[in-house]
Amino acid sequence: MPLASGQDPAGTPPRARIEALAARLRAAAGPDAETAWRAGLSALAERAGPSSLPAASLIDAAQACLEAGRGEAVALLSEHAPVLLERAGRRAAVATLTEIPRLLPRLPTRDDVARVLGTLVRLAPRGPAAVEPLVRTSHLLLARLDPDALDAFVETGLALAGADARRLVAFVGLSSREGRAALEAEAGERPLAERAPGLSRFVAALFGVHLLVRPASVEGDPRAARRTRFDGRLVLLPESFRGYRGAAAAGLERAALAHVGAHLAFGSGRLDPGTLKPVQIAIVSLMEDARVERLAMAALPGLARLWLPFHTARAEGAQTAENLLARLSRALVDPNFRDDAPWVMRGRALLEEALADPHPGTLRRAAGVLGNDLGQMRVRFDAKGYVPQPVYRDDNSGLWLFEPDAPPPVDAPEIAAQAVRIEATESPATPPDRDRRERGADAPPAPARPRDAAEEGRPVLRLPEWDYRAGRLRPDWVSVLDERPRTAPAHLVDRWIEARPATLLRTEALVRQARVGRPKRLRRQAEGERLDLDAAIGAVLDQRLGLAPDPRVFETVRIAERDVALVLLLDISESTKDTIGGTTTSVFSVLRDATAVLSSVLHALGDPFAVHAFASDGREKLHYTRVKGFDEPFAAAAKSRLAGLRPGFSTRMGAALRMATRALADCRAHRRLILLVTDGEPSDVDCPDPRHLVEDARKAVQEAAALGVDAFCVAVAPRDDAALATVFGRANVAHLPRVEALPDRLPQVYCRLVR
Amino acid sequence: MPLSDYRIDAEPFYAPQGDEIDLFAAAHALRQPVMIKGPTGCGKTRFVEHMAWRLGRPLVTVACHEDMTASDLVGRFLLDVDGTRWHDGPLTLAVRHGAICYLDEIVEARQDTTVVIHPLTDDRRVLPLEKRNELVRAHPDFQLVISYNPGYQSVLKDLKESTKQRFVALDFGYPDSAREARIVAREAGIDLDAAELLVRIAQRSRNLKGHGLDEGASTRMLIQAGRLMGRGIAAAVAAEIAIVLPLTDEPDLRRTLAEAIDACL
Repeated sequence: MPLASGQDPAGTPPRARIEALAARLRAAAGPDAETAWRAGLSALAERAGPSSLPAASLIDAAQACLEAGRGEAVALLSEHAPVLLERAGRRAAVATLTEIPRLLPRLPTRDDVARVLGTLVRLAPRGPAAVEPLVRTSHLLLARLDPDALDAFVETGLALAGADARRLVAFVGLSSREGRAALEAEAGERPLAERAPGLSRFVAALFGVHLLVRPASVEGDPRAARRTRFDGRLVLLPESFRGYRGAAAAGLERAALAHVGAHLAFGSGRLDPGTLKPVQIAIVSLMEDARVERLAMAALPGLARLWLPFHTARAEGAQTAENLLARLSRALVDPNFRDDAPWVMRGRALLEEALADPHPGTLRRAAGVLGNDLGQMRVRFDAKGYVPQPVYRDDNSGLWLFEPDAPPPVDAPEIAAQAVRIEATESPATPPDRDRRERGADAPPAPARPRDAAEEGRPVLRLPEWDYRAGRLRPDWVSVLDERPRTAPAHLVDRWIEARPATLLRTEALVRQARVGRPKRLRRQAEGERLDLDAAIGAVLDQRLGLAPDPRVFETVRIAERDVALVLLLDISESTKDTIGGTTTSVFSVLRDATAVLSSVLHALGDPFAVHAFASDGREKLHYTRVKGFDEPFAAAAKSRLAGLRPGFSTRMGAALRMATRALADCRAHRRLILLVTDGEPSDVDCPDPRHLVEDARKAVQEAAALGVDAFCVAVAPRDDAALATVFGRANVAHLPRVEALPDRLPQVYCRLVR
Repeated sequence: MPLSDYRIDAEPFYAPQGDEIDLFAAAHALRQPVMIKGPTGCGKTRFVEHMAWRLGRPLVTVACHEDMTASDLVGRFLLDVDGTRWHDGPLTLAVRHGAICYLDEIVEARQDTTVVIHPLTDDRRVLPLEKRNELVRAHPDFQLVISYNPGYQSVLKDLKESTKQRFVALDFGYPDSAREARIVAREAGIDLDAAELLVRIAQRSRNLKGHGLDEGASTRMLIQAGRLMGRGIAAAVAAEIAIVLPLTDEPDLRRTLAEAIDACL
């Protein structure tokens, strides 16, 4: 066969070329493949014209696949290309036909190809504009993801972007940060925010220095993130280093952090650049790097194994500043490295002097000498392009008082905000600072605040959300707004309570019972107030029989103390505005009354409790209102906040449950409860799939249980019982068909739960 | 002699960190109750043993726990075939016959239990045995010593003010690194270099106190690791099984510790 190696001349008339390829295809993948290909060709020709680019691309694709020995891929492409052409347009179809044959080495089985094409076809109707960018970046994506992970990556993008097509394009094209982060996540890399606590603990263990580690990569400025940067205890770490993956990346991060730790533990404070030239600044920095590393390795010899493998400079090569500096770097820290270049040997001797005499002036003089030598050797130093070597070293900006040639500093308030967030997330022992929260809640509402600020609340933190379709927790998904509670006169609350005399009487009786506590008789005790007659008789019997009697013949009474902390979580979504059939009373007002009654009961019992209310407006806005905190009494301030509560928006239950769980996490009580009062199932404006929020809430309940927090639900006149049973478990939902009964029943439910 | 079993014959090894031996001897001469504070495994118990030996007194040690009742300390009636029989508890034994009574980790005991020591720790020096209707006057040699680890106790478990104020206190910490290395070398029977390595490792874990760990590795842990090394087990493995694994169950923290230990080797 003269054309066996696939050298179809480009000028072959299409007809002849098609027939030649069809014959090869039939031989390689069978007649079905040939049929599919011909069908695909005619479908593309029908839509776009017989000599059009899509049809020509399918011919080229068939040739490329055959050359790669993957005839079976041709059939798949032929089936999917017309669909892509129809749903995502011409460019997407052509890109797919051009790129997929090139990706075949990464897709070793037919199934792999089918799965990638399936992902594209599923994406096409939902985000047609994103198909082509996805195909164009798929060589990057498939280098790190298998087809399933690629599909999950695309699903993440769709979930994140919602209806925002531009955002989706940026996501799949990897030009947005969230896209790159999702790629890291799918590739099995934990995001830096998750790795940071471990890294910072590592340095804490080594040097007793506590660092705040946060990502340094800046949107649109990849250059800024080539090296670590530190400023005091704040360390900006690149989210990834080029060429380092997996275990190598983990080792590099540790090396980089240990290097910063060495600076902080052994450094001599920030230096004043004064009149130093750029080359001298670089040399002082390099020698200071080496000095602190030498001191650190003297204390912790194992650090050599962490750092030295990154020093790969050899005692050879061109007389460039870059080469000489890298060799000096290595010579100063690696005792087994031999480099006879006089300049490097001189540097070595100077560092020994500096180690003997820790005065910073020593390094400065050494840099003067070495810098002059470089000048005399006619070696040019490119200050702009210089990056400290090896890769784990920081960018030196943390060593100097100021740095004229520094790249623009990362947005400072952003750093501060992130640092605060890191601190808040790093110490789970004191989650989001209850003091601050309580203070915020206690403070009287500032009257002169701009209205919008007061209405919107301030974003305090982001919570994850469970995506059941992807089977994963989407981090930082829901934004929580800490609402500044509106207030109304506190006596309203007293009036609501007093308007229900019968309820009040019943609950007072309940309180009396509950307060006494239930005495419990403990039998067969080694000591106690009274004889346990049964045990005593048994003991005497044993004595008469000559057996050793059981000495536990007493009984005692112990009062079982209740040790309960409760978050009463109120769903104040729009639907609570509904009036109860045949009256003018709204569900919300009954809910409010019931809260007032239960709060006065709990206040009388002395059980610590908090009242929180929530309503959501999409995942960017979970309005979370703290009506009453644990540490305050149910008195005027809390009552006026309860009176000021207004309903509105939707029910993102999972996020609210997570917030309540966080509030309970640092309570010392033996039993910690969330009692959610709602009038319906979870829902929100940005979640068309009703199951999504149900599954998320269920996950939130499970997470709470894992932390020892029990969640219960009181459902007033719910439309969908099944959803709530799914979330809380059937036994943990109390149904209240009659809304009006809520003020009566809520205290009963509570007392039953804590008994 | 009822307390002969409680006498200490051989000198327990103790490397003084300061003038605590003289201070304790002075307090003993006055029969003042002594409270010894310090993190776990820093040598509190060893110090008391050493002092009991040095002063020639029997030593009655009680490890306190949260279910310990007053009867566990002072004694109780036991039933036997012939009826009831009184049995002195360890505290009563020490009070009657003149020993140093050492209540280890006193805060673990329930608060109503700790008050039984009150009449013994002021100038009355008596122990009322309510059930037996007896008032035991303390033997002239009796002295009460308690130990107390302020580190990991929660605020819920603190000594009552009325208890605290009856004691003179000695504050113990981990010895400085040179001394700690000598102690580890001697107690574990390993050479000084290996002991210094273990001390370096311990300092790494002590840096993590409050950042995931409640306590860093104690001197006692180091001695355990050192003994394993003396049996030919590699330092990294000994540190793993005697320090990392006992200290924490959290995988991230374990890895951090292992990496930090690796940096010491």
